[in-house]
Amino acid sequence: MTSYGYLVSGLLGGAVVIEEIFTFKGIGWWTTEAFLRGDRGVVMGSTLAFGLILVFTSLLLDLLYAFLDPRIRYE
Amino acid sequence: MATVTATKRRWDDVRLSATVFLGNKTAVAGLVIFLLFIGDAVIVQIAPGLLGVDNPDSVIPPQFTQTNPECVGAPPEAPSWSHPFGTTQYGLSGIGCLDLLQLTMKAIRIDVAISFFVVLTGAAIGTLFGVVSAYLGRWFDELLMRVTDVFFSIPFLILALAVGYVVGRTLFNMALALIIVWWPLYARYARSLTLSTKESTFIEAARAAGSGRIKIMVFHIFPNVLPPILVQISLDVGTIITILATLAFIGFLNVLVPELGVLANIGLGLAPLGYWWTVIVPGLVITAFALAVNLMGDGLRDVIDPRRRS
Repeated sequence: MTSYGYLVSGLLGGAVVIEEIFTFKGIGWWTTEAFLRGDRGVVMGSTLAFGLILVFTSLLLDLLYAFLDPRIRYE
Repeated sequence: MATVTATKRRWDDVRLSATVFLGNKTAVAGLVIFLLFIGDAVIVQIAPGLLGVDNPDSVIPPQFTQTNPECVGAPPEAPSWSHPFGTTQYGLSGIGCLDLLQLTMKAIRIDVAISFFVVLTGAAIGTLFGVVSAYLGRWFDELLMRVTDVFFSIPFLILALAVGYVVGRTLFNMALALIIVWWPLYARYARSLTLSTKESTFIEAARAAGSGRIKIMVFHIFPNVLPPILVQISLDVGTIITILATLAFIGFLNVLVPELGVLANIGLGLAPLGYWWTVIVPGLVITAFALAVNLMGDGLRDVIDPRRRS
């Protein structure tokens, strides 16, 4: 369960590469295009978006972990 | 007399470690491949002529098109005896006859050098911060851990891209971006190792004997933190080379340097036309290096940390 956090991080990074190879026009492709063209706003925005996705996924995983394993809950 | 016994005991330790490492066949295979890569990098650096490599820093040698006019628009050639890895072509209907074996040998030098630079610098910064933060504790520790949290909250590839956007798209800046992404990992690892070492009785003894904080950190904690960090370094060299090539592959660099990711990127437009080797060869070389380093690192871990021996 705890390793899923790192997995999500790797998957989000992988999305950038995969979308670039297959020109699948998702957020990863968009980020690389913006990076290559020097589009500051998009680079900042997509970095923030990726960060938010990762943080919320981690939060969700932590909450799920507390639900599945009551021993780690705070009183 | 006592020093003689100590030296002898140390040599016995080294011999035992070597026996454990050499008994692990996959680790030895990893070591051999790793040494081949290092050998290539060193030879290309010192005497490139020995391997038939010229202009180790450029993909296309200067005045290449003037001296070889027939190569303009030449399609990539499949692997053969004269070109064991085949040839590639820069740009669609661009400059052909670029021998992939030569390019790979040039690229290995750059990749190996950068990945070592990144890992060693990152490990040095991370270990320094980790040890100091864990030993001093309190607000400094809290501050540092929140800083590393910031780094961990963004996927590392995206963070490296963002850093690259800020500092510029050169080879050195790519290394810089990777160091910035990578040091928090070492800071966390060194911190956790220090926290467990700090509670040992020999640290308490040192403190009771009147050693200062810095002396304890440098002479008592650091030597105990170092071996696991070294194993982590040996494992990370392979990871970093993959990330390095990935960044170069998606077009991080705005200069044309022989780098495995750049070579794969050059081949990306050619592979769908049937010239598969232009992508497969750089990809296989990266995979071989990462695999070799991982096998070797596993072997090293078995030597240094017997509890995790598999």
